[in-house]
Amino acid sequence: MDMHATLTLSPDAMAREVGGELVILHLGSGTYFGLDEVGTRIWQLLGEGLTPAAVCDRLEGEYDVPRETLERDLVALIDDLRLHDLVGRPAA
Amino acid sequence: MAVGEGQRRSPLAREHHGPAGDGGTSRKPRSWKRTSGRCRRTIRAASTNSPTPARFGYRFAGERLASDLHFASLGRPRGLSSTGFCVVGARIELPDGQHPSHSWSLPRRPNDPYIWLFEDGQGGTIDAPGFGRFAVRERSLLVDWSGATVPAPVAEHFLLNQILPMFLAQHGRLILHAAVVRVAGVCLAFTGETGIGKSTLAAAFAAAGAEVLTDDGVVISTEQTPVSAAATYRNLRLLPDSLAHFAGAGTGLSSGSTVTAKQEVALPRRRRSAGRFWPLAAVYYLQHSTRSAADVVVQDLTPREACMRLLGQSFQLDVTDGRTVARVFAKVARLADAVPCFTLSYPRCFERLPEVTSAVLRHSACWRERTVPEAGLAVAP
Repeated sequence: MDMHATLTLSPDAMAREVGGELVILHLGSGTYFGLDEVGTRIWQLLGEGLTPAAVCDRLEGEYDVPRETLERDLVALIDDLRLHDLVGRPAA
Repeated sequence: MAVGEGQRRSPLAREHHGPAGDGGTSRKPRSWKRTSGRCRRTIRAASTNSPTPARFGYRFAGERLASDLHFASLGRPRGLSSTGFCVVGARIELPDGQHPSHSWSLPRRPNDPYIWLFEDGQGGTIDAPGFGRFAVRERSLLVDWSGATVPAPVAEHFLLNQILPMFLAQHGRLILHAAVVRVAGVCLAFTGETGIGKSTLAAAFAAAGAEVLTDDGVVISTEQTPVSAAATYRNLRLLPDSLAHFAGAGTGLSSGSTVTAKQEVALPRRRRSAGRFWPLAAVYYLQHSTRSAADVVVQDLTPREACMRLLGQSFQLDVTDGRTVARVFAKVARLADAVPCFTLSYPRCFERLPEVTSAVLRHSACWRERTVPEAGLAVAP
């Protein structure tokens, strides 16, 4: 995955914060997803237009976690979001 | 660091009472009474282009309904109102050359859809072979039972428990697939997948002295604090083994008509509570016990977890209709934020149900008291 390419949140993804965490409903498929507190933060930062690398930079300052772990988990999450069509391909 | 969590269940996965559940019957429906006479509301059915008089007034999910159809399950008709929704008999043709935009299947036959939704540019047409056709037209629901092959009570049950909740959801109402019991002025909701035991648990609460409001559909009002709930209509149906256990056990429950595989139970009449909204103290999501010992286990759900489970139990007609979905989504989120939600698992045997109801009443006491202070400790488990 290109860590320096911006991702776009799917226009079909309707997100709502509940108790500090996020529930996302995909309008196209009718399926819904939950993100915990950290996943919610990542979703917010991606929505602000940050690249995955920039998201890692930001989270490194907010959470006490090794950069390697951070990148691994972030890539896994983004792969999962892509798989369910919640984020689009990197913008050209 | 925990990240993604996907749940592949569709909000459209609803409880369905299909032909198999009705014993595979193919009897002709009883003749449907079409009425005429003075009308205070007149709806023009699109396909017949003729005015259809509304004669009966009902309350359903806290809404006023005017209809030219008689619904035995909704009790004695009331006076007509100039506000509310209409349910109107009509002839409905499927849109030409259209493919269905959605379909619904029974949980036990996921690849065998039996309800189809067609986009018709006017609100949607629903085809449920054997059960009828239905069309959404603004604040009116058109009903065509001319092709129904199931017995009349089954067709009515299908309309009241599946189609009308979806119709009202399309108008922004939050309706959950749940049983609700009233305890000392507040109510407790029990939701979960089809066949998980909501009706039997509701009957157990009746045996413990609570009032059963419904075992199937509840409308939730999130506009005020506290969040409140009302039955779509008073209804309790039990499978024969459950009914045999509870009938005659001093519960006041007795068998009524056979509607589907379940039998309708004649609930004690309580006029004061019919159709009323009651503060909702807690929601329990029923699930099978994962412990071999099968104790009664209540566990907290986070608001996010609760929201996802409740979305799965909410009625929706068209999940691609962003505006409507957003409204229902917002209400589910508000419900999950405002009302404590828990999972509930317990041993599946009739003899231990009193233990389950006692545990739930003990567990919910503080939430009930928090919801309506004077109601909290007034209940003997």
